Amino acid sequence: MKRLLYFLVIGIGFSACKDQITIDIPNNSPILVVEAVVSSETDSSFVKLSLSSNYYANPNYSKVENAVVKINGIDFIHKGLGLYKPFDGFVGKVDSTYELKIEHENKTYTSSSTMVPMFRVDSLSQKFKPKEGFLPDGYSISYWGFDNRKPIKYTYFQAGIWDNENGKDSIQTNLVLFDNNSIPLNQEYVFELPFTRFNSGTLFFCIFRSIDKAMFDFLKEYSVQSSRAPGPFKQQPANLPSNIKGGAVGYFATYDVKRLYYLVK
Amino acid sequence: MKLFRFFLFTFLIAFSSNLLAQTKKFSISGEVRDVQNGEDLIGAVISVPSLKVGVSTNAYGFYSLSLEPGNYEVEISYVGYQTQKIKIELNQNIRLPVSLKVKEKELNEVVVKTDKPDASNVQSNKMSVVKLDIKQVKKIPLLLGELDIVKAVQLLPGIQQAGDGNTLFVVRGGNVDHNLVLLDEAVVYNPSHVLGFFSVFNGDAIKDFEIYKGGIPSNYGGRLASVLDVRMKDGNNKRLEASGGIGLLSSRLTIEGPIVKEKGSFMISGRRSYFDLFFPFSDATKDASAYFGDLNLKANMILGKNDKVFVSGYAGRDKLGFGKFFGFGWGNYTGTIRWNHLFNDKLFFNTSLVYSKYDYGFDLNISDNLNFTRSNFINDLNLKTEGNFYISPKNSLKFGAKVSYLKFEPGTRTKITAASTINDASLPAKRALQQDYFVSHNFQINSRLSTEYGARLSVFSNIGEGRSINYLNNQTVVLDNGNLKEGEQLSGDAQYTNYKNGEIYKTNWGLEPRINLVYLLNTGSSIKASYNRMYQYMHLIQNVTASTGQEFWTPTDRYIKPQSADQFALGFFKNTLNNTIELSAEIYYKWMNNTVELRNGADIQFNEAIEAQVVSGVGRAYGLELFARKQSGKTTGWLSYALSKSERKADYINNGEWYSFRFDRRHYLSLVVNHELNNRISLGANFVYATGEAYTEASQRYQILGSNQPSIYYGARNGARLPDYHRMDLSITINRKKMPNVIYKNESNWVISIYNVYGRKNAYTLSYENDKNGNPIIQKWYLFTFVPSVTYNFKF
Repeated sequence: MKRLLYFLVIGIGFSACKDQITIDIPNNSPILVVEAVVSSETDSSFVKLSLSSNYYANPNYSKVENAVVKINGIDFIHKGLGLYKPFDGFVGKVDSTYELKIEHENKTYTSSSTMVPMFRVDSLSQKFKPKEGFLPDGYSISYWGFDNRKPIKYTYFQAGIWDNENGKDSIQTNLVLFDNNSIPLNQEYVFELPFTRFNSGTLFFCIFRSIDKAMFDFLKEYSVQSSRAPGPFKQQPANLPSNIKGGAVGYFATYDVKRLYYLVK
Repeated sequence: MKLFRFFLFTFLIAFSSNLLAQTKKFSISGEVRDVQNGEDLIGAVISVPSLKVGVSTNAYGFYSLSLEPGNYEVEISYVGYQTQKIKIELNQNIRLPVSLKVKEKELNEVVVKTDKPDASNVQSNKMSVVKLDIKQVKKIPLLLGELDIVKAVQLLPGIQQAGDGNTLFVVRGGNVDHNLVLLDEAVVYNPSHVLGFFSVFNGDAIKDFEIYKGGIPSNYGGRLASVLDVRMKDGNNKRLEASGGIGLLSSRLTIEGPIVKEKGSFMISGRRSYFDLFFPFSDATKDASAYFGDLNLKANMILGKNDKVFVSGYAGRDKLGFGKFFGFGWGNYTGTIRWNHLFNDKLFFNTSLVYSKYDYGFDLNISDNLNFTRSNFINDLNLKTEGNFYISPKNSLKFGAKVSYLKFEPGTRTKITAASTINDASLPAKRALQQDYFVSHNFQINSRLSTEYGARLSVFSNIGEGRSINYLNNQTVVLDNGNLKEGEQLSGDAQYTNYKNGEIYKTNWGLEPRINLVYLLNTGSSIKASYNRMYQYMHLIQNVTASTGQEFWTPTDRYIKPQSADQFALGFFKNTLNNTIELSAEIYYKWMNNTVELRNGADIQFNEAIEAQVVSGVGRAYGLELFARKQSGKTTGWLSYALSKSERKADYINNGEWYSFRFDRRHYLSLVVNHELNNRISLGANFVYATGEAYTEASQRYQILGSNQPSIYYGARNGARLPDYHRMDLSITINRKKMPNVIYKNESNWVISIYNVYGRKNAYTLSYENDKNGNPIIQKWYLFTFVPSVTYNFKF
């Protein structure tokens, strides 16, 4: 949609263009940036702490290495570069509530989140699709799901392929958010992933994470923040919402994770 | 109470003085029309200079003037037309229809006719209202050569465009939705085509328009800031005529003619864009489609001496899309049936049945199981009757009533294919009944002081069938860790309150006093003052300023309060050089209550809980407006300047502190000049300068979710300014060559124009990006730099 608007603006204006400009931005005190996750996957929970910088400053964000971090009273120990981890083998549990507490430079930051169970994802399947618009021909991937949770429950979705060259997962579809308010409940359904085409032999993977409303609101705003700069086609700029109390920015999320791999035939 | 006593006292004085003299008077009444096509002329002045009295024609061209018996010379004048003087012997009621002729230089020698402009702008008790002659508007160079009355009014003081090239406008610090836009009395809910770059008004179909920025008479209501009242042409009732234009981006054709010669006429005018034809030439746009089209229809018939009926309608449609994957479109439809009836020479009535509809649709068709179509619309059906009672030249009454049925359909979602995993759903409709009653008294207190005062009573009732959401502690929004969030909805049976069909579940009402005063310093200068209160019961919900069609209207209800505004204005008006130059200076102060502001992070798409996405605020706006206009001679045009400030305040936005309204611009200057070199060629030029728009500045940045694109931490809302805006536009109009002493039935001209002739890169938007080395930068986007266009217009 946004893309279409720009095409139209460009089409109508014939000469839509952009220039770099310099605006004086005053220096302000840095703000603590928190990324805290409790995951249902083993050893995947962490807290990352850093500081904000002036808009024009060199983009090397200061890491916070001397904070005291606890979740439900469990110490998260600094492992370097602002990353704090719990003991080995830590696993988050669904329906449990987690309390985050961070102490840094005589300030205390707190947050709370309850892990919502994920819906059932039974399997993945493929279907050949011819060339369509800007999409090449190839196999589309669908998942078969079943959701019996009361609406509204939220999901954070990512997908990608195994990168043979670098030997790791390569995320290609980042930050898709959806809720179960508009999908059929208590019945099996199939959903084709939009705008995707894969070739035979590709190892496809996808990650479903159930999230709470606060994280959904954060990610939704995060996903549109680049469009919030001024202008008639832009929403009023606003800071990202945060569930961290005490004046920090960022988020504390609990994820029930469902991760699936599929080899395209 | 004091104001009420003043009104009552003035009214009693006026009526008692009139009753004493009532038996001695006779009336002169009739219609003032264009001699060539029979069109009614709105606002023509009928005066008796020897008595220093006069009236103007109403919206249907009718006038009535009561005088004592005697011999008089009556003068009839109208901007752009030759003034007529008629001698009458008044010893009985006289019907005096008048036909005026358009000013043409070769007819200046006719003795009984003059082209001296009148001083009605100084002497009338209207203020903060501007009327532009449509012929004058046609000479103004405009973006892409499209004749557009909205872009013309944006060159007037106190009226600003909402973005470069945009037809949406703001008036005296009001919001975009604070403007009442009327086409033949029907509300146009979205007056824009193609994201706001074109207005819905086809200049060839428009007869007359005026815009009120303040001092709004009591017969108008429902919006806080302004009224743009546009009237369609009735159609030529003397001969069949066709006119049109072929432009780079759109073409138009109008056909008009008599149904019964000099008794009835019709007009059909259509317009279609074709700029989507250019899209295939660019890879970026080859899959896109975008067009608009609209149709204006009107017919009227005189049914005897005292009756006339009009039927008019408008249909407009926009369609934009990208391949088969998604598209959206919107449409406005209006229909008006009007009946003019003259009960006697002094009592004129108009009764109208008016229908308006605005709809918006969005299609998403990504795959077999991800597709849906979504739509919303508003329906407005109203019946209105209005009377004009011309008691005497110094004394007239206007009164009326209107009842409206409004239906808001906030959204319906339907699968395109049966396999789609998106459920069919619809948000419950909202219905309302609005009643308006108004009266105003136009009274000349003495030879120097006159007034128009009155009041409007508006009553807005939400009616069933429908439902509203119930919130914990009745709080639609709650503050959580500094973030304003949706309030908690009750669950189970308590989640909704349901309303039966026809049940009135909430009523809001407001009394809206209005008064205009004029004090004549002499025949060419005056001081005017006005006060008006306005209520607005429906609100535009939109998360961007431009018209993308996704915005929708929602009514005042259990949670959303009616907006209101009080405006005071004071002005000095002067005509000089034999009324050829108009000068005015106005100051105003406006206070707005219960303005509807979107909270940060509001989700307005397909969301029943709209009341949880908005917060209520207040606003204030004040300023000085200067205006100088020359309407006759070889060189015409105007110079306008506004010095103004507009602010908003709402709980939990900007820490509850005042912040600048987005279109708060301290300085706004515009110059419009047209010069006729000779009978064939005229030149036009505009210059506009404005302080940059207010915007919310980035303060800091931080990295999150591993993204290379930094997240922005913003400073105070609208605490910074975009660079100043300015541009100059030029045009040349070349008329068909004409031989002396030959009468031509066909006319044509070429209009060549250049928008933003010196290519100023006016900031349209900013974006925060990284350069190729990963360093943060700020980019300024700009649109229209040096846009040439050519249009061929014809008439035969």
